[in-house]
Amino acid sequence: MESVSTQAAPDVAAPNILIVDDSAMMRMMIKRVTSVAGSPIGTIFEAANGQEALAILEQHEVQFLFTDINMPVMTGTELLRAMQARDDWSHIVRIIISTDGSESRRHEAQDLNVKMYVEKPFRPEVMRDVLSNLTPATPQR
Amino acid sequence: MSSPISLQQLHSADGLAALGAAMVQVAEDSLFAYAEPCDPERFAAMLAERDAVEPWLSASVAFKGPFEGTASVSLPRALAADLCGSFCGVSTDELSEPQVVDFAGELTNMACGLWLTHTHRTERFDLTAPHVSAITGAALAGGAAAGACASGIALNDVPIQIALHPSASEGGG
Repeated sequence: MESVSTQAAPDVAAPNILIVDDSAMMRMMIKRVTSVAGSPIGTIFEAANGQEALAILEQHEVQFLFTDINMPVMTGTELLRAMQARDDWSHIVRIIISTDGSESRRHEAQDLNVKMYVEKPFRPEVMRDVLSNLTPATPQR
Repeated sequence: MSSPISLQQLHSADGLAALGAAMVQVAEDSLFAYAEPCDPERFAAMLAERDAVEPWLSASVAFKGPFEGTASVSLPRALAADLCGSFCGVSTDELSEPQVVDFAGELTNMACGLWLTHTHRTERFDLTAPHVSAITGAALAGGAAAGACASGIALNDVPIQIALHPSASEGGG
């Protein structure tokens, strides 16, 4: 499996974000509110399911991951489990954005190293608060 | 695991009202729209004022957990495009048909997920990917599908319909 490039130190002051949701319009909405939230942002990547997200993570340095849960091909839960197995991705701050806010899912999220849990629908200012409360971590090498 | 809830409970007025309340919250929180439940007479009158062949979108999401079924939202295609523009911060003219269809599905997904989370927070449901189909207002005016219960909501003074359908096994089909 290809490793993330270590040639250049990531700019954690302007973190790269990966948005994972099977709805293209939800990705567009999250991208928009994230871009205008007032926090410095690097590159925003998009994936329609967990499998696509893993492919992006293999090729790009990402500091924040926003993921839905219910998705075809590979769910958000399966994605987060796969990420748990990779030490070189341990620095990635994980945020779930889902319509499913059940206690069961929230408990499961805690076990998957999820930092925040945002329930859909959310007001745009929620994303501003999320970003201002998160600090990108330095990758472990 | 608790026993499945009966179809009668799923179709209770309370369940449909809770789905309607979730739809109102989605409209207000994410779409900057005004929505309110409307009684059958008002809903029928609002439908009658619209072109019978006006294109509508009907989106459905199946859910499975302690009980199962399908929630659906039907709305005029033009309203879906307007709401999609507000949701994404783009002009309606810039939206493609697949984007409007995608949005109609996500709208239904949010309403269904919010309803289940609010009313059954301790229990887990799995939701399928939304299925969206094109219909006409005339099809809607003919009444809800067999076995379903439905109610109307005025969203920015435009009628939309929410409905709950039994699962295939519960419906005997």
